[in-house]
Amino acid sequence: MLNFFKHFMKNDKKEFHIQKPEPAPTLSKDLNIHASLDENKKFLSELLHYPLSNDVQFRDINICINDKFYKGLLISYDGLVNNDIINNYILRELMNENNRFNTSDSKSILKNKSIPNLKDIICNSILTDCQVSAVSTFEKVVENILHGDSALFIDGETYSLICDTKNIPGRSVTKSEIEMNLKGPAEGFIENFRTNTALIRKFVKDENLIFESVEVGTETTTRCAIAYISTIANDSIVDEVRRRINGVEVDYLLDSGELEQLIEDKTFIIDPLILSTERPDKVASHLIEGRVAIIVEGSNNVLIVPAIFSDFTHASEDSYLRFPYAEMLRIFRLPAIFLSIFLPGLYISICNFHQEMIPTDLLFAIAGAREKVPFTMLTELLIMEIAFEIIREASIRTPAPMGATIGIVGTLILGQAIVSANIVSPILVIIVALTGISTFVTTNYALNYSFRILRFFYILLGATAGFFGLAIGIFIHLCLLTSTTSFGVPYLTPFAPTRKGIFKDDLFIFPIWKKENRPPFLKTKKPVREPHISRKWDTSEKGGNKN
Amino acid sequence: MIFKGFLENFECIATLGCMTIIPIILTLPTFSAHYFGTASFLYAVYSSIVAGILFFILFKFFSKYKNKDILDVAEIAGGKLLKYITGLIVVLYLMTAAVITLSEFNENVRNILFDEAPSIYISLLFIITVLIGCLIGLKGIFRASTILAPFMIIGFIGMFFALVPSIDLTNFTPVFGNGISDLFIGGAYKISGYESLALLFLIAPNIKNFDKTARNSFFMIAFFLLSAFFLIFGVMSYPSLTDNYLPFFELTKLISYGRFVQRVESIFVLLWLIATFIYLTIGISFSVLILKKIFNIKNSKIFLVIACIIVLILSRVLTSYIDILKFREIVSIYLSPLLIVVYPFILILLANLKNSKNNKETNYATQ
Repeated sequence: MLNFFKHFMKNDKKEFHIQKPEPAPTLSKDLNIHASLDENKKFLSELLHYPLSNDVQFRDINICINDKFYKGLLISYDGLVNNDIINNYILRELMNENNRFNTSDSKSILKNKSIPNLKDIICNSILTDCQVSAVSTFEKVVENILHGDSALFIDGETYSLICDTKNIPGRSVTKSEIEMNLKGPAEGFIENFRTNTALIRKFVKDENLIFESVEVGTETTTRCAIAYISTIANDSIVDEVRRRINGVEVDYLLDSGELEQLIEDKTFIIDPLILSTERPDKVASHLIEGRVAIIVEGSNNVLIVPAIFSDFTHASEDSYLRFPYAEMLRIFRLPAIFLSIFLPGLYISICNFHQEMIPTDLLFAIAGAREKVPFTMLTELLIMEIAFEIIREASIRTPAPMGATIGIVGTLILGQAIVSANIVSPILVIIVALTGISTFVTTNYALNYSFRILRFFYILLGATAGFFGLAIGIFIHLCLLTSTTSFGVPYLTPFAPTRKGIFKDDLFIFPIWKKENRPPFLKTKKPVREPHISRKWDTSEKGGNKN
Repeated sequence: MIFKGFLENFECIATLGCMTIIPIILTLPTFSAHYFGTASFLYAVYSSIVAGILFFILFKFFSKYKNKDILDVAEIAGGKLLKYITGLIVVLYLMTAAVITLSEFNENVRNILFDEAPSIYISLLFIITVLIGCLIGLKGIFRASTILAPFMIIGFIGMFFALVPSIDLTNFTPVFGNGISDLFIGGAYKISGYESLALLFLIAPNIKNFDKTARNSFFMIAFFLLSAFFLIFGVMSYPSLTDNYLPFFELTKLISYGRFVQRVESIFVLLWLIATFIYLTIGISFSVLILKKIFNIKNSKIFLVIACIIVLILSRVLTSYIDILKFREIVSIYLSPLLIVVYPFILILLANLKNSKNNKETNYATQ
């Protein structure tokens, strides 16, 4: 017992403190490969922290060619590579004692190919089942093995052979979950870079579609691709995208969301300035219009630039649905956007400052419903809005099976209880619910976020000064939006500055055969998409086939 | 160029349209009722014709200098000194107009919305908003007008259809009101409804097609002015208008579509407030940009803040609404025709004379 107290009272417990770090020894990767394999191995062990880092694989081998053995070393990252390829098509082939190549025979294929050295023999005759390329610096070696390749070093050679052995773990192509559609292609991008480029290529079968490689990040070189159709996209937009991406100097780049923030025109503006999508068909349709897409390795979202306000309000489905249905959706989307930003602000303005606007019967109903509520309308509204935001955030973060429970508890039980407890009035629940539902009509989640933030501003302005406050908010917001550009294109085009085609594909939608031109603000190389008469079979159309 | 960048045709027209709303909703109908009585609508038609002719001539003369603003024309006409003088006159006029508009709107907003709030709060809200607008830049303001203008037009049309049944044609009689001479002689120089057209002299180099913009802007202003006057003087009798501080606001109170849409005047106030922000922002921004141009100031942002503070302080000096109206009458009715028509006309004539003289001298020299 005494010992226990002694132990308890003893104050000799050492607390952990983070020490000031010593500068990490940095090895310059920008060195050429030595001829000595041992030196290369020593240098790479240090560079790749082998054997401290347990996923690095160093495999010493003896390469056998024409009964002569060469010392070799194969380096790769376990987990990023396909072990089948390494074992069956690289190691087995290289170590095969039957590797015999008669280079002196005049009939030999190798002779005809005039293969002069070991590198060509290995590349062209031994490792025939995977892509092989030679690099001469350690920097390139490290970069490639981090992307899932394997590096082969041979004693006496001042290069390394990079074998394509990529097998980076990832999910398979699945349905797009954020941008849902009833009609049209359903698949979405995944985290695999090459799969994403292939998905786009699947839709745009055009040899002029270019995926230009750029790398971002000083510590991790994250592969990015600038995608554009060279015969359509304006070169200056492509140059600007290239300039901005090349001008990014960060150590790590993990997702397209980070790149978006690094290359957007204005940071402190609430509305999104770059379109981010997980739908390959959407990217394809924008590329065909003449825009530029940016694909980031490891991200399941692709960025599209330049983006204007109306792009964020359109769904891919709009062009797949028949014109009347799509038109109806567009028309309903407009008031939904208006409601999602302004409804709570308008409600509080009208109730607090402009009661004369409310018809008498409704005014009595509102007053009656608020009779037992002890809070001011602003408090009441903020309680509901904040609660709604919390429920929404919670339902996103909770595991899928529990999401429905959160929804039921949050909306039904909490909503019912909050009204019964006279914390908020039932009319306010209707207002907040209608606003919340309207927010979901916008197809783009980034725009959704901006509306949610703006709504709070308008609530505060409306509560402070009624319509005067709303006028202040609208004026400043309008001025900000109209003075903003996305990669040189005014954000509110074609509304401000006004351009032709407002009614064709921005505010409303016209039949698909009426979409003859590409958006004029993109200044594409091919402004015309299709001839004036695209339905040649229709004899009733002017200039159509009359036979 | 007073500011960089090109303006679209519709951007200019929409901005001028938004600026025209301000005198219409504030004091112009009251002044018209006071001067012309029942002939106020006829005055609106007459002043439109007079303004049309005057501006047609003026723009014809000015078309030689499409790539120049009025300051450049003044420099051609009378060198740097005249440029400075013209610049300062324009700045004074714009600042005065901003001060009066702020005082007037401040009082009206207080009466309509916040009858118990101290007016300094309203002034502060106004000026902070305008300052933010100024800092964002003129290009944004011009473009914001293009978004606002369609709503203004829809509002006007809605108002028109709602109030047409209430129009009493006897309100227009006697047709010549206080007399033919009062109307045709006294009304000849009262063209302040078109004062926003003078902005074209400042933005001429920024406009792609000056003639088309000038023509369309004139018609836009005429549309607003005539339809507003037709409604006001058709629905309300002129004696009630002479006493009324905000006749247009009173008019909107009469709008009703069935039982549900009634008393929608606050929506119009919302639109007018945004138009006022545009008006004040343009006035203050141009004042500073003109000073920037004539005195080669590099960083004008601090001057925008100073100009806003000056406008706020001066607007606080004009506390009595009667004083504000008197001041508005002097500036709008008597000063503005001199500044928007006569002064530019003199400058353009002088510039033309100087140009022809220079041409003659060069011809002699070459001969």
